[in-house]
Amino acid sequence: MSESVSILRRNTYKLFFKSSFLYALIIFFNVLFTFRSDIINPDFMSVYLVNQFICDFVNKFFINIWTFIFLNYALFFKNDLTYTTGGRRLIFSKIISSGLNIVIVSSVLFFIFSEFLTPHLRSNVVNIKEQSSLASILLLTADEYYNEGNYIDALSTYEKYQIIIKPNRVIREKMRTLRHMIYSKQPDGAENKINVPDNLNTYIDIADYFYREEDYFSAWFYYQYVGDSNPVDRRKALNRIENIKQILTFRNSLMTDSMRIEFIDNNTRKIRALYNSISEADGYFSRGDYFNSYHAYRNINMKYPNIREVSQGMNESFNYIRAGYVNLDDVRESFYFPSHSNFVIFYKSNLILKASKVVKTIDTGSMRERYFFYDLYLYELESGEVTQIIYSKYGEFKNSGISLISFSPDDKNEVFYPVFKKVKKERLSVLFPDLNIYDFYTDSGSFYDIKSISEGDLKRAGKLFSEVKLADYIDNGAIEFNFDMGLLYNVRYDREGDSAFSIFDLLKLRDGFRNIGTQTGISLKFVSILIAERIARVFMLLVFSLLLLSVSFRYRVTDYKTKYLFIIPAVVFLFYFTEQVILYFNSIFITAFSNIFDIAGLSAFVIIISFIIMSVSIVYVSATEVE
Amino acid sequence: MIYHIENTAKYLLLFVFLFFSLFFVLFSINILPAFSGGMVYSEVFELSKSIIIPVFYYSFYNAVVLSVFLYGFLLVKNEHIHKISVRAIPMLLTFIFILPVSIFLKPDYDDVNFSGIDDARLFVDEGIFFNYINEVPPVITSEIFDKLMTSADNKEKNIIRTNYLRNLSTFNYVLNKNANTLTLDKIRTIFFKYELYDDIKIYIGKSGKSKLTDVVAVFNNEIIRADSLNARFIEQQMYLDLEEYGKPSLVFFRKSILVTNRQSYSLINNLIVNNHSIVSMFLSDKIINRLIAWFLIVYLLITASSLIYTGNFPFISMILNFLLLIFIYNYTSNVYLFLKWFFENITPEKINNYRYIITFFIFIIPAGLFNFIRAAAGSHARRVNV
Repeated sequence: MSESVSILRRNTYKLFFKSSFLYALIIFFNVLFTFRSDIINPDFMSVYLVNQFICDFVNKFFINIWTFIFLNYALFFKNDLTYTTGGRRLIFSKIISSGLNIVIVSSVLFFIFSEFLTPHLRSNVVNIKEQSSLASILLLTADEYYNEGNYIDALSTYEKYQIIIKPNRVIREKMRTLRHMIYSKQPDGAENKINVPDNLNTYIDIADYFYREEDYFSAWFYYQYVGDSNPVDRRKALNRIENIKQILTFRNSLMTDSMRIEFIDNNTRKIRALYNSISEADGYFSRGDYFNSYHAYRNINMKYPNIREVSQGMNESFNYIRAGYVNLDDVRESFYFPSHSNFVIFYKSNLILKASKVVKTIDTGSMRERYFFYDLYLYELESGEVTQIIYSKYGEFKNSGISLISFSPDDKNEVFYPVFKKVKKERLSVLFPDLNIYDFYTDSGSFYDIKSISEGDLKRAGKLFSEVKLADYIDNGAIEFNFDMGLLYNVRYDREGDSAFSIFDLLKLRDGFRNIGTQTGISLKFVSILIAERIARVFMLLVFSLLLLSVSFRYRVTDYKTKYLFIIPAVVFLFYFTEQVILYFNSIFITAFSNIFDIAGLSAFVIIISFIIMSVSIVYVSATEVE
Repeated sequence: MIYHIENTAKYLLLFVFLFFSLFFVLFSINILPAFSGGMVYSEVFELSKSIIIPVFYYSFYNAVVLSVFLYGFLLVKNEHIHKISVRAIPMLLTFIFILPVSIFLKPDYDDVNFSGIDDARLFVDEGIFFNYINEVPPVITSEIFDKLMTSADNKEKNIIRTNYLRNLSTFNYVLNKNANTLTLDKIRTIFFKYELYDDIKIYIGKSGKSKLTDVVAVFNNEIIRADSLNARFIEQQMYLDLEEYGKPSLVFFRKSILVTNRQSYSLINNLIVNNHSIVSMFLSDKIINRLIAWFLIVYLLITASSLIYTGNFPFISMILNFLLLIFIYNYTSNVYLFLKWFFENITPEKINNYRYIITFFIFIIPAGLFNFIRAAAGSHARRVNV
């Protein structure tokens, strides 16, 4: 090994690390100065900087390599390095070997990083953005609750906020005050709420507990139940009921006898009524009418919050309706999240599903993604015209369907059912032979069109429609929707390349698209174009690097002057422009050829073409003379 | 003499290479998108008949411009660059190329306009929903303008204010005709944001040459479904009439003209758009004017390409020359517009017939002087190395 080769190699590596360091510095400051604290919470700043920095660093790494090649082989190259110590000329391959090493290794690393690491980091950045917006929404809501004087909700919202972001001193102080206020208010505010320990399982134990805690009404309720149903503890229960009656009358000792009898009767009647309403709610529950059972339980719970069956029933019913219906509180919360407008898909070959807005949010509890649809329409098409429109104000994607009924947990009347916006006359008359629903509609030929869509009307019409089956595909207020929602949410309608997808993701996407089928109006080509583009991109950038190695050396500087340094910005700009041109022609050609080949064929075609171009460029490089 | 033959051969090779590669690229870009519109192989020939003429002119004129420029700094050796004979070669050769084209083919604006391509498959995609690109309204009423002025933020207000100018007779606001694609995109986004547009998505089940079947157009609150629609073609645009469904007609632009990802490729997009003005400079009603224009352009190009040359560091001159080329391509249209404005507004009408000659002298005198001085000082300049 001659001396000049080792000097060359040393210089090359030195220069590469210097230029990469400078490049990293520029990228870092760019990321730092474009940081926006209104989008990303400053708490996430360090995580964001690291993720975004690596993404950007990898993204434009080839410009760095090209600049390095230019500097090393064109600008700073010393001619005496082409000679060995013996005075013989070096061959070109020896001169560029270290530079070639860097180029090849960098391209392989570029491919691996951009396909496997960057997508992950980019999704991290997206997560950070989503969590930041969630945190700011929670903070706003909590402040609102605080100002309204709703201290319990304010505290719980602040606690949710605390899970995402470590709160600052002001918020911590606020939470401390809130806790203090809630606990000090407890004696007068919580006159009727007693928490039963979980280890009490039998009714008699619960009744005893209430008895000891001096909540005599609840104790009476449970003793009554035991007395009616449990022969073993019957005597004890009846005795206790008598005791309770005595205690209650003793507490009101100023009453006359008749008043006392009336008082006891009153209480007995209340207990009976309670029994009745609980059994009514249980009836709803057992029939599967969870919506009514929830509201029945909720009404009881507001009066008698200590009855464990009631609160249990309420929670269970709530879980059922939450699984099947859309919670309007969640919809309200989702309003602040980023969204896509005008979502359209062929749900079936003659059925179009359209939503004016799709919002993607995260669940604060499970940190899972949720999707809400605003103004959801289902258009049924028949021989060139729209024959039926079903409209739902809100929808939510759940497991494998979209629920169309939205409810409010606080108000029984605040329910939106899906309605007909346009329907054939005969269909409506079959559904409602005797009911007068036609107030809501105007007559237009063989169809009825809905008249007004004010919220009140919508609710009233929806109530009427809740009894009937609107269409075969709507079952229990939900439509089956077996599509991958995460996939559909990211679909672009204009087939723009999205760098957020890696090849691995794209292959997964392809399977998802296959399941969706070709009749959806969404392009499967999108995936094959992107896969081929990603393969071709690396090859083309590599080819340009190889050509640049040769060209730089052929036209290198013979007499170095300091003023040549001023050319570097222009060079970087030209490289940037070249990259754009390469990517542009790459994408336009592959898009054009995607119509001829299928997905595997396109990739194979791209690889073959790339290899041909690469071998031509290798011939060009190897023909470089060392003068 | 051998040197001149070598140069001539080099130039010819360069020209042929550029012409065929440009022809291939332009042809592919223009015809291949039709495959996603539902074209089958047997129809390629039919469609290519209408594309081949403009593609020929585009690649021909661009090859002339590029080859002259690249010849000036890439092929000619430094020590010969100041020789008049060296520079005469491309001028002479392009003269030989252009003369028969001008005399026998007589290209006019229609030939370079891709105007005869009345094929719906070049405008739409088949079997998928795609975004309809709304036309930016050429005129907006003062109410809309006021609405934008009250609700938009400062950046958006500036864009609207600079691109919509008040018409004092009708009190409407008129769009600036010279707004480029990027600006139009920005205006479009603003209109979307304040809901002055519908976000329209189109689905076309099957598209023929001028008949589209199974059309679904999704508007904000409405959906239109048509079994078949006929397309109209006016000046590189396709129109779909939806009047019978109570909606205005939709306008489509050809897919190859639209750059898919406009934001990131705005520079390339500009180059493609401005390319048209470079080509149209060769077109004029009189052959003598064409030849004058051609002579002027070639002379300027060859002067410009030899403007920057450092024998010490050829790579620098290469880079600077490429930048110069991008610059020329990007701003020729502005020079063209300036000249148009100059002759329409400044000079008296009498000399309008001689405007080519005047333009010729405006440019040729400084360029000639520059070349003369350089040739006089040439022997010195060559030794010093800039």
